[in-house]
Amino acid sequence: MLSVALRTLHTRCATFVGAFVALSLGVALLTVMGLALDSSSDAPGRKPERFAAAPVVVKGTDTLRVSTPIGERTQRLAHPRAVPIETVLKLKELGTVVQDRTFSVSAADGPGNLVGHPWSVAAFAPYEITAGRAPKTADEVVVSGDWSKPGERFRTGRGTVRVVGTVADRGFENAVFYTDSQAARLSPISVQSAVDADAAAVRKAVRGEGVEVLTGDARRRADPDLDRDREAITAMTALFGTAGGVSAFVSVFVVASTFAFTVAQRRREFGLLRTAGATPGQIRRIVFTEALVVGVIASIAGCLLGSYGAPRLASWLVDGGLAPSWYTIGNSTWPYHLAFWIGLLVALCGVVAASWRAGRTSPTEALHDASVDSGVMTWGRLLSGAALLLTAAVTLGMALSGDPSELLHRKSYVSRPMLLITAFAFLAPIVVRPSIRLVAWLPARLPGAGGMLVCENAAAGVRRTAAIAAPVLVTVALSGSLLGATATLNKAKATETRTQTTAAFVITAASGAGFDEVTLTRLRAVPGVTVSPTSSTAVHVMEDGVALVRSEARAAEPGLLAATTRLPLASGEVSDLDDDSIIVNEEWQRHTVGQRVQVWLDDGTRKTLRIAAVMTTGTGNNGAYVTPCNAPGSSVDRVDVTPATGADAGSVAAELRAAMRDSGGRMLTKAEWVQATYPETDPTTRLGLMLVLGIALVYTGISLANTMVMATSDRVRDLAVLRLAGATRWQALRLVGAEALMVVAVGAVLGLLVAGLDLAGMWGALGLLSVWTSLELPWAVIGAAVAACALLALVASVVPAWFALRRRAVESAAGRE
Amino acid sequence: MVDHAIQLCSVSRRYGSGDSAVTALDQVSLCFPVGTFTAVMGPSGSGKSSLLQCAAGLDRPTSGSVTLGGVELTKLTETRLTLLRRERIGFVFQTFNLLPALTAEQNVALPLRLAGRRPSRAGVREALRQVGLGDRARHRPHEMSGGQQQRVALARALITRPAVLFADEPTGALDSCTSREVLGLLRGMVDRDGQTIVMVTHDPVAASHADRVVFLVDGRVNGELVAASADNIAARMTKLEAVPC
Repeated sequence: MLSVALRTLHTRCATFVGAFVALSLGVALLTVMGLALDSSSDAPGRKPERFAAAPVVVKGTDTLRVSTPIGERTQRLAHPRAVPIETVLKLKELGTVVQDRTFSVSAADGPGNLVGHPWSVAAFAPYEITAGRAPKTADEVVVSGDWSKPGERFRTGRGTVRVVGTVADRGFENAVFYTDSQAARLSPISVQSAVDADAAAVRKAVRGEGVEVLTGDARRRADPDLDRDREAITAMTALFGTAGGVSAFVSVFVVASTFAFTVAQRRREFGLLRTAGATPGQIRRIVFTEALVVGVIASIAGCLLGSYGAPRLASWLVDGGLAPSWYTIGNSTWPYHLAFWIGLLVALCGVVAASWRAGRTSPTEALHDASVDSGVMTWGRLLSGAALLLTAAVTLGMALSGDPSELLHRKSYVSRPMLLITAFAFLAPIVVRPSIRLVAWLPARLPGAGGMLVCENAAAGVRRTAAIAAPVLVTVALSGSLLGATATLNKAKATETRTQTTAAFVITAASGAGFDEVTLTRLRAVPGVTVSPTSSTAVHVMEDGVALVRSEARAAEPGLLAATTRLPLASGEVSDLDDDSIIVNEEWQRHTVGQRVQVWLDDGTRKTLRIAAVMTTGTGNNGAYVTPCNAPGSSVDRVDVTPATGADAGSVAAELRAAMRDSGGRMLTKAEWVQATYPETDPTTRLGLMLVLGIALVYTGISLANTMVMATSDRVRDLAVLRLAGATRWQALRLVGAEALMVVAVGAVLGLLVAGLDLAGMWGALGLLSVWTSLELPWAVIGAAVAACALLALVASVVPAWFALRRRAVESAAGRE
Repeated sequence: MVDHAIQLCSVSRRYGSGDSAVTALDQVSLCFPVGTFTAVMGPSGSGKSSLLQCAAGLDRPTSGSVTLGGVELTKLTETRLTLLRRERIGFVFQTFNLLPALTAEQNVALPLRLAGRRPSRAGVREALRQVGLGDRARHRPHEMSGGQQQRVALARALITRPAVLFADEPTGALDSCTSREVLGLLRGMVDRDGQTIVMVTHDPVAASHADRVVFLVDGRVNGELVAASADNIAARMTKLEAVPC
C-alpha cells in the first residue's frame, strides 16, 4: 500500500501542491505564533533604570492584597501609598535616605512628558552632569537631554525656572531636577526612597510597616513604565493567540476541501483499484497514507519557514513600537513540536471525510467518464452545517436575553463569526445553486450564448462552484464581521460619549500631568460658567467573594457633575452622590440604590459606600463615580465647562483660554472632544485583525488556485465540445473567466450576508443596552478583498484553460488521458 | 453434470427510481460452464455490460442471485466480496485498465500486493511473457500502444489464476491486427489452461473465437449460437436489431 501511495504521489504531485502549500503555511504560522508567545511569556529580568546605583529602595505598597477563600488576590494601585514619615526617620538612622518624588512638569516649549524629581535622586540612575552645575535655589533646575541649555529660562505651570545644568539623556524619561526642598514643596508625597544602607538591616527596621524593600533586579519595580510593558505583552499574546487560532481553522478548511477535491478527481483510479481487488479499507489507507506523507513533508517545511520568519517578525514588531525593546525570539523547541504535530493532525483530520468517500467508490466508477457532480452535498455536510447554524442562533438568543454585553467582548466578536461562517461554508452547495441562478438571471436573458452558458455551467458544476465560492465567502465574511464589529463598537462608544457630555467645552490636561490649584482657581473665577473638574481614579471591589475587580472611576463634585454631564442612569440621582456614597454601573455585582458595597480606594483604603445611583451598562467600562475625598492622590485631569444660559460662547471661550494659559492643557469644544476621543482601535488589535484577514486572503488564494487548476483539467473536454460547436478559443477563455468572476460575485454576496447577520446580532445587543447606533461595514476593506479574490480567480481559471485549449479540439473531445 | 463456473438466477438490475428508472437486466438466468469461452452479444443498450458487472461481482443486482463456484455473491459484504473477487475473478475493461502511475510490472503485480502477498519477480515476468510483453516490464502505460496496454491488463487479470475471466469489449478500441492477437491469446488460454472466459463484444469476428455466443436484447436472453462462424453471427445480430419494440 505504501508503495502504491508513494508512486501515486510522485506522479500526481501537482495535485497535492495545493494541500502542501496550505499546510506548510499553516504550520509556519503556528510556529511563528508559538515562538512569539513563548518569548512574550518569558520576559527577561529587566535591569533597574532609575535606581541602578542605589543599594536599596524602600517603596510604599503599590499592590492591594486581599485574601479570599481560594488564595490572595492582588491588584496594582494607580496611586501607591506614601512611605510613612516614621519609617523614613527610622531609615535615616541606618544610612543616607533620599526621598524620591515624581511629578509632572508642563513646559511651554519642552517635551510633552516632562517629569520632575529632586536632584539628589539623579545620582542613583546614575545621571552625570554634562554641562553647568547642580541646582542650588528654588528656581534653578537641571534638565536631561538637549532641549534646553544652561542659562535658558522656561515657564512651567508653577512659575518660571532657570536651567543651570544638563545631564545626559538615559532614554527612559525626560527629567527636570529641582532642588530637594523645592521638589518637596511641589510634590509633598513621597512614595519611595533610596536608602544607602545594608539591605538586611533595612528589612529588619521596616518590618511590619507596610512598605516593600527592593534590592537587586527588584529595584526595577521602582521604575515608571513597568505596566506599559506588561500591557504591551498581554496585547501581543492575545494577538498571536487569535491569529494562531484563525490560521488553524482556515488551514483545516482548505486542506479538507483540497483533499476532497483530489479524491473526487481520482474516482476512476480508485474504481480501478477496487476492480483489481482493493477492499474499501485499503483504499482508505492509501488516501490516508498519502495525506500522512504530504503532512509530514509540509509540516517540516512549515517549521523551517517559521524558524526563518519568527525573528523577522519580532524585529518588525519592535520597530513598529508594538513590542517592548527587549523583545526577541528565544530558543525553545516546544513551538516546533506543537506546530508539527498540529500540522500532521490537520492533514489527517482533513482527509478523514475524503478517505471515507474514497472507500465507498464502487469498482464500476472506473467506467464512468462523465464529470458527474451528484453527491456533493452529503448528509455529513448537511448535518454539520445545520448543527452549527442552530448553535449560532441559540447562543445568540441566549446571549441577547441573558447578558447582551457579552456580545461586545473581543473574544465574542472574534469567535462568533467563525460559527456562522463555517456553517455557511458547509451548506455552500445548497446555497450556491439558487444564488447563481439569482445573480445570473439577467445576464442569462441577454442575447448571445455567454450568459446562458455561464449560468448553466456554474449551476451544474456545483462542486467546483462551491469550492470557489466558499473561500471568497469566508474572506468577505471575516473582514466584514471582524472589522465591522470594531467599527460599530467604536461608533457606539462615540455615540455614548456624545450623549453623555452636555458641557460646551472640555479642557484636558497635558498627558500624565494634572491641573494645579492655581489654574483651577482661575478657571472657577471666569464669570457665567459652571466648571466641573474631574480626576481619574480607581476603586476595587470583590465579586463573588473570590475575584478582585478593578474599576476605573472618576471623582467629581455631584452638583457640578450634574450640570456638565448627563449620565445614563438606570436608577437614582446624580445629586445623591456624597462622600459616603458611590455611583456604580449595572455590571457590578451589587447594583441596587441604597445597598452598601465594600470597596478599596485607589490607595488601598477599605471603605463601605452606599450606592447612590446606578448607570446603565452601555458599551461597557462606564466606570464609577465618587467624590474627590474618596480619590486620594489623584489630580484633576479634565475640566468640563458649561456656560450659563445666555452667556456668549465666544467671550466665554476667550476667558477660559486666558485662565488656562500656563497650564499646558488643551481646550476643546464638545464636538472636538467627541472627535478627539473617537475610539481608535488600538494598534495591536488592528494589527491582529489585519493579520487574520491577511491569512484568510492568502488561504483563499491557495484554495482558488488549487481548485481552478484541478477543475480545469476536468473541463477540458467540455471546452473542446464547446469549440467544436462553434466557439473560438477566445470565446471559450472569456467564458471561463466570466464564470469565475460570477462565482466570486456570488461568494461575495453570500459573505456580505453572513457578515450582516453577524453584525445584526451585535446591533441587537447594543440596542438592548440602550445604545442605538448604526452598523458600520468596512466597505473599503471588503471591496479590496473582493477585488483581490476576483483577480486571483480570474488568473487561476484563465491560465490553465489557456494551456488546455492549445490542443486541438477533437483530441480533447475524445477524452484521451 | 457439468460444473458451472458462474450461475445467474433471475437476475434483474434497475438503475434510478420512479419515472426515470431504467431496467438494464430483466430476470436473466444463465450458466457459464467451466473451461468455456462464452461471448455475450447484443445491440446497444441491451444490458451486456450490466450483465458482466453483476456476474463478476462488481455491481449488485437489484434482485436474483449470482453463484460463483458455489458461493452466493449477493449475500456477501463489500469487503468479503472484494476478497473473493481478488482470488477468483479477473476483469478487463475496454479502456483505462492500468494505473498510469505504475509500470507494467507493478500493474500486473497489483492484485497480489493488494492481497498482502509479495509477488515473485519471476512469476510476474512470466505472466508478461505469456502475453508477449516480457521486454516491456518497466514501461508505463503512456509509453505503450493500446494493444500492448490491453495485453498487460490481461496479464494482470490472470496473475491470480482466477476461476473466471470477464472481458468487457477488450478489443473495442484496437485495430484489426492487434485485435486478432489479443483474441488469439484468449483462445489459447481456454484451450491450453482450461480458463473460463466470458466476453462481451459487439464485433462478430471477435465473437467467432468463442465456443458459444449468447444474445441479449433489452435486458433479456434471446437465444444462443454454438460454434458459429462470423457470418452467421452477423446475420443473427442483424435480425435481432430489426426486432420491433
